[in-house]
Amino acid sequence: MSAAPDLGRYAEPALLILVSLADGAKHGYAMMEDVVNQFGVRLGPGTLYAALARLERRGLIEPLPSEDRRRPYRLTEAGMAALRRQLDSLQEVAAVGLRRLASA
Amino acid sequence: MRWLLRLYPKAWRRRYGEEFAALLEEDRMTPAVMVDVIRGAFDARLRPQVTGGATMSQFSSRPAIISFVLLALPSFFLLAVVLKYGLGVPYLFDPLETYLYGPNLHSVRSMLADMLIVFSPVVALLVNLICALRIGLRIERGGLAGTVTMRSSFLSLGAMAVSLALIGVFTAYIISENVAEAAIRRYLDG
Repeated sequence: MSAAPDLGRYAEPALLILVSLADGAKHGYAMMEDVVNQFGVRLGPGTLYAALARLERRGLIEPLPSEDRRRPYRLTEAGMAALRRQLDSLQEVAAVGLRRLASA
Repeated sequence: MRWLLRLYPKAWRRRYGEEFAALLEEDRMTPAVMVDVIRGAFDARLRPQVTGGATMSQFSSRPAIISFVLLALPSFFLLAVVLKYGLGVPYLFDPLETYLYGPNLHSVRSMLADMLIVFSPVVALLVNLICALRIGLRIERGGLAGTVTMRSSFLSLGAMAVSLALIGVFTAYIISENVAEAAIRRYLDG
């Protein structure tokens, strides 16, 4: 179900980052703000960059030219595909769970 | 808070240092943030994602390389002992005479060699285990939940196997030596 396998404890931060980048490129601080506003999860800077480095190494995100020391990142084609796969999978899980709860 | 950046490896700092420093300046520095940054630095050192601008393989070979350096002396020592005392092959030198039972038995050099031979496999095993094991702990409603996962390269697994084998051999040797010594003492006393 993971967007990228072998992310270990960074799988969840990585998913939140991919979702944050789904509507356009963002730099680190903007991602942290977006994630806390959307999901109420505060990603620490160490966690954010550990996950970013893994996503970049797997070719799921790519850096853009630096703007005033802050570097924006955007999803790659592979990143979009991986995110779509994972969200579809989560949607299936949610649908089954909700259906079972409704019939309980 | 730039000093926190120095905890990260050089290659990581070259790639992410400037933008990470900018992020730290923007974010409010709390003890939790500090702990998170330190944990990130440990992660960057133990599971490096970048080196000199190039991406690394998924598994770091660094722990295995450190281990093989640590295991060189005990392996050489064991090989010499097996050749000399086990197979009767004349070897370049007598390892027991040189290191353990020579005229300088209690010299610093002899004791240091003794310690290195016995403890190097233990250190090598620990280095690989620490780098391979990931322990996740989280507080859940009414308790503490934890997971332990292991990710290791084949090279690292090999280093762990060699370390374990050496620890086994040395432990068996120490136990048998003490048992034999006690039996001889009992025989002489009796």
